[in-house]
Amino acid sequence: MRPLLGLLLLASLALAQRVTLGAYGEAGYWTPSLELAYPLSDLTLRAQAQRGALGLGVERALELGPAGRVAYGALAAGGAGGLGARAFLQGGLGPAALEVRLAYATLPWKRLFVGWTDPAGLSGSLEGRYRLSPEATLGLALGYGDLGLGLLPWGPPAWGTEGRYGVRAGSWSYTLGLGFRQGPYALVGWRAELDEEGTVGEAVLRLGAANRLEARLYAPLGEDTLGLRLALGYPFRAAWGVAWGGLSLEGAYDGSYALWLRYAWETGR
Amino acid sequence: MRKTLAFLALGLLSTVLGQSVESILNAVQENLEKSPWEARLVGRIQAQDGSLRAVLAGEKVLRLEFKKPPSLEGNFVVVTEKEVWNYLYLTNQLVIQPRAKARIEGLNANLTFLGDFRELAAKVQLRLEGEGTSEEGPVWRLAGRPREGGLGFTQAEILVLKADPRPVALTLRDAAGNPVAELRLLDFRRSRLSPAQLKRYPQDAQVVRR
Repeated sequence: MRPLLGLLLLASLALAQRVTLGAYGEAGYWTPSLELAYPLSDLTLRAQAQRGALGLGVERALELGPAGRVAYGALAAGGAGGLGARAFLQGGLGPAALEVRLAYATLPWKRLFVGWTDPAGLSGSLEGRYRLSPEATLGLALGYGDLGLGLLPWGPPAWGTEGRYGVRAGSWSYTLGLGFRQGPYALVGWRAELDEEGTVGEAVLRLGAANRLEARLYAPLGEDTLGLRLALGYPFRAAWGVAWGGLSLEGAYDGSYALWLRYAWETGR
Repeated sequence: MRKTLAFLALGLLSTVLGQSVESILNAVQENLEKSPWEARLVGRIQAQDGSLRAVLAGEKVLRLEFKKPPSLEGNFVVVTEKEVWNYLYLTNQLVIQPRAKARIEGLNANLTFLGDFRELAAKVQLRLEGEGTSEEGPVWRLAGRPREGGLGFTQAEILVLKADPRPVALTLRDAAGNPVAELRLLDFRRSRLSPAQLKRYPQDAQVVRR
């Protein structure tokens, strides 16, 4: 039986378009992780596994050229004594963009796959954006669950809503917004293309009931992009990530640590 | 006798014109490949006012930047010999597709010919309709129909500048004769842009390979 399972695993790795192997660790627990993506005509089949849990999903996208793109998909996962299912729709068409995510699980999603931080039960989010003009964009988000900022849940699950108004001036853009999540808060954001190579820097600060700074930097390095991201919260908690080529390292701290090292191979299929 | 002469003359003319189409397209291709260039594409695409900035550099890299309509401003398309890149500003995504598979929908017309006139000749049966004038000067008028369906148009007309062989206007029509694209190439100039500069995109974009 074992050689057969080994052969099946080898075949599934060989046929995948993208294979991501990882190792995740937090206090008193570690697991290897495996993510596979298979193209099948217009569909992309996905599989993800960790110790004692397996998830299978399917995605599809409508390519509308310069006018936009709409992707949607669903995934079901089981193991660790529980089950979960999730679905998403994300895309933009002309001046409007929409992102909808819905998830349900009988246990915290992290036990089904370490990359998910959604809570047990029902969670989801709805975000819409509309371009008022080439320079101005209006955004509105509503959701229940985790903020999805890093490897560990960012506080207890909660309802939250946020409105944003973004203005672009050349290659710089600014965002102002108000939100409510266990209390009201305000946000101010900045994003800029910093050079001719497409280097992008971004920072968003939220103050009020939520106190959080998120910063990102993406710069070309060799043939690939170096990505750095950091989220800091008060009371103190942190999430960070470094990615280059297929290699990525993520970490989080909320009183305890979590680390996830991954490497992705693209087979070009 | 007169009839025979007329037939002979027509046959000779069509042969000459047939060769001319090929030589015109070759001259355009050689001219456009001589050095990097950029131009503004202005007009109507699918009944919408549109404006694009087209830039071509060596290795046949073509970049089309959308300026109008406002909802597409910031989007761009990069066409290389093997791939088509579609950058979507609102969702900050870069969708990369093999050229054979990609369609530049929304325009409902394949503008990739701006980077490869020989490919246009392979897809559209063009004939020389005659000569005319444009703001830029005397032009050849080429017209034709696609050799196969699926291009989003059934009739094409291209005006090619005689003094500096390059397209100055393009009209594509559907089966009912309605224009799906009416574009003019303005402000043509030679450029110093490199292929790497044309492939520039925000590095935080989500890259999706299809």
